[in-house]
Amino acid sequence: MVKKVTLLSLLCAIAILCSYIEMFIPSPIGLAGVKLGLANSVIVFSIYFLSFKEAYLISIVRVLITSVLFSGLFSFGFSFVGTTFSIIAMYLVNKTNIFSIVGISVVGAIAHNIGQLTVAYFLLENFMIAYYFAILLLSGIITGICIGVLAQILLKRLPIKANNL
Amino acid sequence: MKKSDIYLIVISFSISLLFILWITHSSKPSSMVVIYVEKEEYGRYDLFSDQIIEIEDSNIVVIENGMVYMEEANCTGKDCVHQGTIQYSYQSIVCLPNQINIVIQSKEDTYDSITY
Repeated sequence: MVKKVTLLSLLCAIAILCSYIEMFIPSPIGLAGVKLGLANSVIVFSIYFLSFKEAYLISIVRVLITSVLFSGLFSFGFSFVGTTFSIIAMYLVNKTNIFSIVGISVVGAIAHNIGQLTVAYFLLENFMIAYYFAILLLSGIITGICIGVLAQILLKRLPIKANNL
Repeated sequence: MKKSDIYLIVISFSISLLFILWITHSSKPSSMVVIYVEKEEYGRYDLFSDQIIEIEDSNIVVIENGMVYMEEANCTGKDCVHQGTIQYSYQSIVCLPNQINIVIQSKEDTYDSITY
């Protein structure tokens, strides 16, 4: 139990740190939302190793803390829905065992974008954001691949096994 | 990486690429800048007459040489300001905290539908 709590809080801290570091990386095409999503490597990793509840807990705590500390409560609603969509999708895909961790990460990125588009649509009630969404989707797939590869490297290098957590 | 990963990446990548191509290629020559604020149409402006539009307090939209950009915004993130200029149809600048959506449309487009 202690081991688990320690691991979860450690993963949380790493995810928050990733979000913080990412704030210093400017978006390459100047569009809000086009970003690497470094923190997702932690989430993808936890989906793989931990239960759904634990992975969800980590991402919700991360979103809450980064919103309060850095980005403001407005972005909380966005990230919350995006994260929820993404983690449910990744969990389901992981269960089917069709994809490797790279595929899971890409599915997570796509679901994250769909979640955020849903919020944006409810806020604006206007489909004129379709172009914006298309670019987000494309960038999400690319960053999803990067994060998936990163998570794959992590899995290989980290000396832990799922059954002794 | 499995084979299914490659399929997933290739398929999703091409779908989103086609989506972008579809939007950009189906656009007509556009000359209208439409600004929506809180789901309501705020105003329509000619893309080719330079002007400065102020929305509520301190949200400044500039139309200049057939391009549109957000000069100033009162939100915290300022993503809309950093986004820079847009000039083609269906491109948009979105400021979510203020619920402002700036879209370039063709004149024939009606209020709430995209007509291809």
